This record gives sequence, structure tokens and C-alpha cells, in this order.
Amino acid sequence: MKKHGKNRAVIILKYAALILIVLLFLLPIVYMLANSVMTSSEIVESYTTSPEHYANFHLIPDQFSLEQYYQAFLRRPQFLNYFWNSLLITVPIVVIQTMVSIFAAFAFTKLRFPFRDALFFIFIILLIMPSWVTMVPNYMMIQRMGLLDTIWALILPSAFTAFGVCLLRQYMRYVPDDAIEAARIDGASTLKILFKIVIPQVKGGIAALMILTFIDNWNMVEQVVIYITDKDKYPLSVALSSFGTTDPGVIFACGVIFMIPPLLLYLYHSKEFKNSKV
Amino acid sequence: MKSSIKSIIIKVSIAFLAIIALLTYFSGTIDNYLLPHVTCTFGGEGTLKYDLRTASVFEPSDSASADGSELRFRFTCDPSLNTFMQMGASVNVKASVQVGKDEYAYRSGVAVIVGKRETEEGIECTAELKTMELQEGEEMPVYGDTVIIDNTFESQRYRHILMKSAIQNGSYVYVVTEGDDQKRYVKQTPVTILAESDFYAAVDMDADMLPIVLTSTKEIHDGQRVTLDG
Repeated sequence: MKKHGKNRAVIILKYAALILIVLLFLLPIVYMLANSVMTSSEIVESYTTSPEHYANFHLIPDQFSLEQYYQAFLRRPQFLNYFWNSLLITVPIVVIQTMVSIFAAFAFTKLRFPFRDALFFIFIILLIMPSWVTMVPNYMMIQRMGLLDTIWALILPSAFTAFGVCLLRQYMRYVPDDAIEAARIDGASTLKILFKIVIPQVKGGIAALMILTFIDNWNMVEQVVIYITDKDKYPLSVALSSFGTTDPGVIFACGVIFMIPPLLLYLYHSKEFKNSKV
Repeated sequence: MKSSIKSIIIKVSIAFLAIIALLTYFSGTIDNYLLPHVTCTFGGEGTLKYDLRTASVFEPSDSASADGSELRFRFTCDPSLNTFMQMGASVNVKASVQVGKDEYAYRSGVAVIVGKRETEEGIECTAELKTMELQEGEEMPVYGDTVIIDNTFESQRYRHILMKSAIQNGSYVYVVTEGDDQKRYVKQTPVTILAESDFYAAVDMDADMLPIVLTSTKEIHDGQRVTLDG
């Protein structure tokens, strides 16, 4: 009886800790959502630097307003352009990186060719190398190619990364060789094996890769600042900061809109993502 | 069930993108439709501060006196400063003058432009120090042959305009003051940004002479385009 009570206390404590952690993670998002439906004056009031600064902190709007969304969608046409810039940069990166990673990971896992493991070792080295290390050589190459200040300067370096190859290779290792051998005996080509046998079994990995790549590049900042000088070509991740200069409230609405595409992508793939195992 | 959720997500995504696409396509029309109509009046005296700093080493011209009390010096500035470099314009000066080996005395004061000509390098001006005050703690007389000028060009006119304005290169400056129930805007003052800061801007000569104040009953924000009624 005593042990039963002790177990219950432990469970309650665990849940309390979990709820606290969840609240901590959710607070910024809830705060952004709440602020996005407040009036401009209420938001400005919340950010005054008076001694009672924190007294103004609140999550429930005094007056519900969609003014910020109206401003973002209808009064700031440049916001929409930045949104499309983000999509134009992110979608090709996700598509190219996913395709390249699938083929490369398949080759490294299921095909036999000389120096396969040595080449993969080089891939691993690339993976652990911080992006800043390759930033300068990348810049020089892009400059030589005449791609500076174009979206290709952002797409090309980000589309070919080792991360996707390593991630999918881990998934593909669990695809049984017997199934591939059986398909080969039945006369299936390598491409057919990849598309009919391997890819259906690593859907979770591909979904994870797409989501992670999308989020990573949707939030791209450093590369943009380095490779792009024309502010009209900035993606939303960089341009977002410029919206709050005259009207701080708009930045919250822009932030909410900004997080919708990755959220939709995650929701679409959530089942595969959760069920996937490496 | 699973596929129905996915199809809902796809539909939501398509709807979201379609809305954004439509808004983008019609953004110009919508923006024009929503632009506030404003009436236009001529503004009176305003105050605009343009605070342009250049720090350079200038050689005093021949007429510089040995003790620096009537120091006349020559300097070359960027052509974009042409507006300000008018004959008789005042230039705030901080002068650092060598007074001995590795010793400098610092003075600040006002110089007046007494000569001006355009060269290949820019606008060459000759200025004459009118008042000079010793910095606190300095008692040494100023002499020598090297003067470092830290120029601050300042005009009391229109000070207020730029202090509260949205400034964009090649664009327009708007806000002057906020009234009780309406905002007053200075319209279309072409500006040239010389440095990335609120106060580091130069104002076009024409606009400098005759700013136009717009009065709007609708809510408008800094830098926003407006439709003129008058």
C-alpha cells in the first residue's frame, strides 16, 4: 500500500516536471500567438522600459485584434515578396538535397564499389565540419561562377550536404539485403530496387530529412547576409527583423505566418516521422 | 482516417499558398486602394538635424596663424555634401593641433566656410575658425601645422523632421509631429543616406527650402506612400 502511494507520488512528480518543461518550450510560441492578436498600442505598452516592465507582461489580449495580420498581409506588400523568396530558396534545396541524399545513401549502403567506405569516411568528415569552415571557399567559388547576389548562391551550397546522406544511410542499413537480392534475381534494375523496395521502407527517414532540411533552410540567416546584397532578394528569415522597426506588433503576426509552412510540412509527415526508427 | 488528415493538410497548404499568391498578385491594387488620402499644406519653420561626421587630417592653408586663433584650413568633402557646403555655412569643428613632439591640444569651435570649389576629388572648401574654446583641462596655446578636423554639420532648421522620420535612400521622409488626433507628415523630401544611422542623412536643397506638410485623418505610418488630394 505504502509502495503504491510512493509510486503515485513519483508519477505525479514526473508529470509535473514534464508539464513544466512543455510550458517552457511552448511559452515563446504562445507569447508570439498572443501578441499577434493584440492591438499595436497594447503591444507597445507591454514593451515599455518602465520599472513596472514585467507587470505589463500578459498573454491574454485586452482587446482581440487582427490588425497585425491586416498590416502584414495587406499593408506590407514586401512581406509577401520575402515569403516567396523564402519558398523559392527552401523548396529547391529540399528537393535537390532529398534526391541527392537518397541516391548517395543507397550507393553507400547497398551497392558495392571500390573505396566505398573510404568515400563515406570523407562524407563523415564533411558532416562534422562546421559550415563556417567552408564559407570562404564557397564564397570564392560562387563569386567565380558569377552567382553572387542570386538565389543560386544560397541553393547550391545548401543542396549538397553530407547530413542527408548520413541520415538516410542509417535508415537504409535496416532494409534487408535478402529483399534486394530477391528483386535482383527477379530481374529488377538497380533503380527499380531503389524506388520499389528501398524508398518505401525508408519513408520515415525521407520525411525526417525533408522536415529537418526545410526547417534548417527556412531559418537561413548567415548565408543570406554573406551572399546576398540586394535586400529585395532576402528571405523572410532575414527580412523579418526589419518589420518591427516602425510597428513592433507586426513582427508577431509575421512570425506566426513565418512558422506556418514548416508546421504544415511537419503535420503532413508527422505519422512517418513518429513511426520511423533508425 | 490517416489519409483524410493528410488530404486536409494538403488542402490547407494549397489554400494558404493560394491566398498568399493572390495577395501578392493584387498587392499593388490593394495597397493603392487602402492608401489614405491626405490634404497638402506648406509647412512653416521646421527643425531638421543632419549630423554628418567626417574625420580627416587637413593641412592648414597658408593663412593659418601660428597660435591657431585665426586658423584657416582647407578640406575636401564628398560631393553629396554640396548642399551643406554653402558659403557662410557653419561647421562645427574639433581641432587637434600638434603642440610638441607627441603632444596635442584639442579645441572645439565653429568654422565658417569662406571658399568653395569643385574638384575631381569632391568639394574643396576653405573654412575659417571663428570661435575656439579649449577643452576642459587644456591650457596650452595651439600652434603647429597639423589639424585634425572632426566636422559636425548641423542645422537647427528641420531638426525635428529627421529625428522622427523613416529614412530610405532615394525615398521620402514623412513624420514631423503628431497632433492630438491626427498625424502630420512632411512629404517627399528626397534624402541621400551618407551613413547607416537615423541622423546621418542629408536633405535635398529644394526640400530643405520648402517642405510640405501633409495632414491625414487616417492612420498612416512612417515611410508610407499616400495619395495627395491637394
